Amino acid sequence: MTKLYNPGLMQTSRRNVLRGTALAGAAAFVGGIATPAAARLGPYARVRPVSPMVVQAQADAIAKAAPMDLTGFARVRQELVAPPFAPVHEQVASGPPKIVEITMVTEERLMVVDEDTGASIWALTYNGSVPGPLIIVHQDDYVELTLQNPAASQMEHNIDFHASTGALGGGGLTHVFPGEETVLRWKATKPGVFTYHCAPGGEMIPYHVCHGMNGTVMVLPRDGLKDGDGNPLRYDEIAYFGEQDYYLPKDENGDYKQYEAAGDDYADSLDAMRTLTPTHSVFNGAVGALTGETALKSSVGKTVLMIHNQANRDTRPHLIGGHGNFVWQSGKFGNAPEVGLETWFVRGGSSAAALYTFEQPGVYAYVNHNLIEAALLGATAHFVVDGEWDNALMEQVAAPRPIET
Amino acid sequence: MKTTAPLTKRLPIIGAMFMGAALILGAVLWMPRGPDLAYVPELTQVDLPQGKTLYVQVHEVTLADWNRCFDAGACAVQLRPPVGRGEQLFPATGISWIDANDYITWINRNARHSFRLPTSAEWRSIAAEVIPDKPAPLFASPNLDWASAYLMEGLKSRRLEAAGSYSVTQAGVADLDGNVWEWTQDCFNDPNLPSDRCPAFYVMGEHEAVMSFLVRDPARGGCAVGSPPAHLGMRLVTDSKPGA
Repeated sequence: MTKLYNPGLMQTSRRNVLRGTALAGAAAFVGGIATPAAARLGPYARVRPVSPMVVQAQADAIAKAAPMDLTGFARVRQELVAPPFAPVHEQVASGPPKIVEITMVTEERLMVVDEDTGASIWALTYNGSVPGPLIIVHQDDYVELTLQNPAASQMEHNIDFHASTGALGGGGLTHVFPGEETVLRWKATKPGVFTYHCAPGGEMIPYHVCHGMNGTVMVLPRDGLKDGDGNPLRYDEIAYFGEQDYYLPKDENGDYKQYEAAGDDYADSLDAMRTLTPTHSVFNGAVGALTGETALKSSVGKTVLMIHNQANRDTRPHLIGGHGNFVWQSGKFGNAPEVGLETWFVRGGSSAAALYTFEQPGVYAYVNHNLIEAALLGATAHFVVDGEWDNALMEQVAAPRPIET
Repeated sequence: MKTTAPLTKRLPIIGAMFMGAALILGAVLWMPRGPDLAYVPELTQVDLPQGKTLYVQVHEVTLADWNRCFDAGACAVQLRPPVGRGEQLFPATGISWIDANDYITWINRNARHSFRLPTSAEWRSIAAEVIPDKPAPLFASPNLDWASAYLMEGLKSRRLEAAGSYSVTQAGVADLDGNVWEWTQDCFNDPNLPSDRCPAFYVMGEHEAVMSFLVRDPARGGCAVGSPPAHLGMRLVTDSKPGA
C-alpha cells in the first residue's frame, strides 16, 4: 500500500485520490482503482508525479486566463456514426470557422474479437465501437465535446486529442468518473488526420488504448484536399480503418481467458501487453469485421479516402490489387501527398490517409502488410468493387494448363 | 487277436490330428474376424443416384472420437472443446487432410472395416436437401472468375456448436449444413493425381471450398478470394455395412 501524498493543495476526495495524472495533488496510485485486481499488482515502475508547484502553476494559469469570446461563431451539431463510415460533412468549408458540437459516451462492453475461437474482450470504447467514431471538422473550426461516463461504468475515462493544444491533449481536463460528464472545446489548428484516445494515467493508458479506446479526428483544409501542385483532390467515399492491437491473456492450455466484468483482466492484461506481441490485430474491432457481409463496397471510377488509425503500434497498410494514388503517410495535409505508393507506413500513435480511384472490378484486400498479422492475427478488410474489367490493365493470356513439352 | 498298431504307424494319424488342431486353432486366431463394433461409428444408409448405396456417419467425427486416436498414439493433435463449454459434445475441428487420413488409418485398423472420406459428388448428393441454393455469384464476367466465389450473404455464424445443432436429412445424416467443412478425397483440378501428390482437396459445407492438404485452421481473409471455411472436420463413409 503506498502512502498518499497530499501537500495541502486540495481536499482529499475520492476524485483526487484515484486520479492518475499529474494534475491531482495526491498522485500515489499510478492510475487505477483500488479493486481486488489492483491489489494483485506486482511492483511496476512508478511514474514520478510532477512537482506540486508545477501542477499548481498550471492550475493558476488556467484560472487567470480570460474566457474566449464566442460571439459570431455558428454552432453546428455533428451526428457521429459507427465505423467504418464517416459523418455527413462538406469537403470544402462553406462559411467561416464554426463550433462543431459532438457528444461521446464512454461505454465498457463485452465484444467478440474472433468468432472462430470465441476470444472476447471487455472493450473500453467511445460510443460502443472499436475504433471510436470518426470526427470531421475544418482547420480553425472548434470541436466542443461533451464526454459522458455512464454511472454503470467500472472505470474513469478521459480523452487526449492529438489534434488539440494544451492540457495533455485535453486529457488533463476531461477526467470523468462513472456518473460524470464534462465539456471541452478545442481549436483544430492543424490540418490532417489525428488520433484521439483515452489516457487516464500510468498503466491505465496502454490498458485503455489496447482495450479499444481510440479513434480519429479529420481536420480538413478549409478549401479541401490538394495534391503537391495545388490541384484539388476530392473523394466520393471514406473508408475509416481503425486497427486495434489486442493482447488477450491465455490460460495454461493456450485458450483465451474469459472474464466477468470490465477491469477483471487488468493484471493478466498487463502481463500480456508486456510481451509487446499482440494476440490479435483487427480492423473494426473483430477478426473479419470488414469482410463477407460487411465488406466495403465501391465501383470502378469511384475515389475512396482510406483513413487508417493505429493509436499504439506501427503498421504498414497495403491495398492488394490497388495502390495509394495520393498518400499522406504522416497524416498531415499541410504536406504534399506522396504519389503512387504500394504500401505506406502508419506510425503507432497516429493516423494516415490515402486516396485511391478504383480502376478494376473484383475483390480487394486492405491489409496490414505484415502478412502474419494480416492472415493470422486478423488485420484484413475487403472491398467489393463492381464495374467493367479492363484487359488493357491486366489480362490472363493463358489460364493454368499442363506444361507443354 | 487284437493288434495295436505300432507308434510309428500311428504317428501320421497323430500328426494329422495335431495339424488339424493347429489349423483350427490358427483359423480361430489368425483368420479375418468380423468388424469390432466398438470402433464402428453410428452409420445410416443413404441411397445415392444410379443405384449406389452408401453408409454414412450420422455425425461428424467428434472430439471424443478423435482423442481416442490421439491417446492411441495414431493421431498427432489432441483437441480441446471451446473454453467453458466442455460438457457438450463437439465435432473434431482443426484437422488437416493428413490428420484426417491418420484417423482413417487408425479406425480402419481397429474397426476392421474399410471406412473412407466421401467424394465431393457423394457429399453433394447426401447433403442436397439441406444445403441452400447458392446465391448468384457477385461477378458474372469470366474475367472475374477469380473473384466470383466471394460471398456477401447467407454466411453462417462461425461459432463452433455442439454436434447435432444443425439440420438432419431424411436419411438421418446430421450437421451437413453447419459451419464445419468436411474433407473429401477429391483432388482439386486433377482427379487423377495420386492423393499423396495432390496439393489441395475439396472441402464441402455451406459452400464448396478447396484447402491445402496441410491446413488445419483456415485463417480468415488474407488474400481476397472466397470466403474461407470456418472450421475443418471430417465424416466417415463406407461402401459396405459393417457386420452384414
